[in-house]
Amino acid sequence: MLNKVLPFILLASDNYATLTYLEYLKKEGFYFKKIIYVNKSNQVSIFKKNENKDLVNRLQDNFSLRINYDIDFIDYSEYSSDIETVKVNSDYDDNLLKVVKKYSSEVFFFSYRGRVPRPFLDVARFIHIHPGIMPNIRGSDGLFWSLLERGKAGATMFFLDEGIDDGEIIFQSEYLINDIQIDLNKYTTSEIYRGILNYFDPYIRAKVFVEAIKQKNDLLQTLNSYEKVEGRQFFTMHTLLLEKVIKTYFGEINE
Amino acid sequence: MNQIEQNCSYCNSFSTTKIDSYKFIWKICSNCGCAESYKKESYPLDFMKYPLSKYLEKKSWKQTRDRLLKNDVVDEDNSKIYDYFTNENHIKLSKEDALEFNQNVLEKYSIDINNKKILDISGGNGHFIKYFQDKYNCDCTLTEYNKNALEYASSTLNIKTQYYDFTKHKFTDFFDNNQFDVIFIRASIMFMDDLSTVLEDLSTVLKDDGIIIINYSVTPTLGTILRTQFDEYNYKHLYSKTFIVETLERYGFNSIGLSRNYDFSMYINSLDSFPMERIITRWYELKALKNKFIYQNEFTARDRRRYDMVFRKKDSSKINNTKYFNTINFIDSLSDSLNEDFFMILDRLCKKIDVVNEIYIEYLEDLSKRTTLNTLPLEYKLKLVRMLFTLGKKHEDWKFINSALKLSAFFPKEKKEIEKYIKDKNIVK
Repeated sequence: MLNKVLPFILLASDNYATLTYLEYLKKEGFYFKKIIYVNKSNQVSIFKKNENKDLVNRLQDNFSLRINYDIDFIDYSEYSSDIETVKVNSDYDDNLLKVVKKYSSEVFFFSYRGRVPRPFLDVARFIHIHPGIMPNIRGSDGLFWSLLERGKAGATMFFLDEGIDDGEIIFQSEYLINDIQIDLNKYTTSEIYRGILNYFDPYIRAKVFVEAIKQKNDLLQTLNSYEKVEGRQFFTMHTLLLEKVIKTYFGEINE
Repeated sequence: MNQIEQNCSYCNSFSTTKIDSYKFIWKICSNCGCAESYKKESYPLDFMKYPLSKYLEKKSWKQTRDRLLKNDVVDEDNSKIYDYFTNENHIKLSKEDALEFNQNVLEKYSIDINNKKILDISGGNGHFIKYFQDKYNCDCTLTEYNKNALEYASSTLNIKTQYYDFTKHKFTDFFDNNQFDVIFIRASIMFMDDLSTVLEDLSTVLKDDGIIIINYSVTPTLGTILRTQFDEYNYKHLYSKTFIVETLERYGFNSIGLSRNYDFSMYINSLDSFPMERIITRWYELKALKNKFIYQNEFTARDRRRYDMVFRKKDSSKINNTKYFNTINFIDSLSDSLNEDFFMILDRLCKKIDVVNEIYIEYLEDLSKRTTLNTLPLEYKLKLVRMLFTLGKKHEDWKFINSALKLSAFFPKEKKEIEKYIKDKNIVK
């Protein structure tokens, strides 16, 4: 088992992706050198306790790791010895900008909210993982568009730029989904959709992260062939199309 | 009153809702923020015309009676409701208005009108413009709909006047091109039926670099709708500030000043002093507030709020060469064979469907920004649905099919066809 400190500062809020990254990396023996936890005033837990256990288990069957999402907030002390908490009133307020400026020579791994505004991009570099093969699959519902357009679930690790899912690519990979069988009659489309976004999509992203760590000598080295290509930006998938993708890749066709 | 169409008269959007009031129905639009009034053919006490209402002659009921019942005078000649323009009180108000306007608009935005040629649209009794004629030695012309006021301004104040009816006349019928330095549109934009045509017309009689001042443009609020619901003759159009600014920009004007003010004399609660009106007002207020739509924009405000806006006409020789994208022309030029340019444009239009949830008639050339609030007419939306679906099937382009499906909400036949295609299609790669 490797035991390696990653050359990134994690910029995080409590969300499913953050917990999945941290657990996945911990299992593989990787740790962030520092975690900056952004704490918004009056924050409530986003984790939904006792959510369809069977659905969550099914979605995690593809992975050799089961994560306990039945928590209120993430205990970051389990994942790094260097944790700094920043209190903010709005997502990208001056308090956060000050902290980012303080570490401007470092590279941040982004697992926070929304789009990073220009002033932040001007003072530091941020790495993010998008659920889709860039530049072909950019935008919303990346996992579902990846399945519909390419028949695989993929993700891309890249340096954030100002555009949507735009920037120099570090690593990307995609996977066939074969073994997931969800009883589609048992859950609504909305429950399955949310389940996939919360309990499956972050796994794919964490998997790509770990693959990148294992395969690349220099994690900051971008792909040589990078050329700024616009690709296509996708938007929220219509429910009917979503049902079709879910049925095809997560439902009865696999049974 | 004919049946009220669902689509907005100003921007074609279907994001409208109807708000009922005592004598009027208002159609308000969440896309452009404008509201249009429709007079009801009947309302609760309209059968009690004045001859029948003698039983309500008691002093305490008189004012309420005059407001709740039908006033036939308006049906004969609605300009007569403005006969009060020449009353002593109103003359006093006109003089006060001039002082306020001088301070709150001309001085505030540093507008020099010394020795300028001024057109005062719907200038009433003329005392307002007379103040500026005397103070700044302006050459003033006044237009007015009420004949009494027109006669008064001409004979008593010696002001140049022109009878003008928004529904019948054009300014270019009476005035030469490039004639005026400044045009005042005071408390009258609410009666202009086709703002684009009026502005184009006004722009012609205004000199390059000339100024248009829109004073007291009443914005749609619940307060205004309720406060005016008993009037026999009401505002026809309440334009939003965004709509006015964007329309003027389209006709070659730059906005150089904008401020909001409130008319506290028209606050909705002032109706509470009359018991019957209080009950009726609360009834329609509750009805309106049950409609979630009303909670958008400024609609819920209980006051009558209005905007003063100042625009400068661009020098026609300096108007830049900004290029525009016209969605209707683009759709008309589409064919089944898709070249790369068309593909890119359709791809960008998908964003308008998916993210903005609306398609407008015109954008900047790169489609980065809309340049109008006018939405695409329904028949063109249908054409676009068909084109996206046809191309989506032909090229197995799911993004196009996704957008076609979203846009097909208004077209059941096409929607069914797309749904069937998705259902039957094997999507495994």
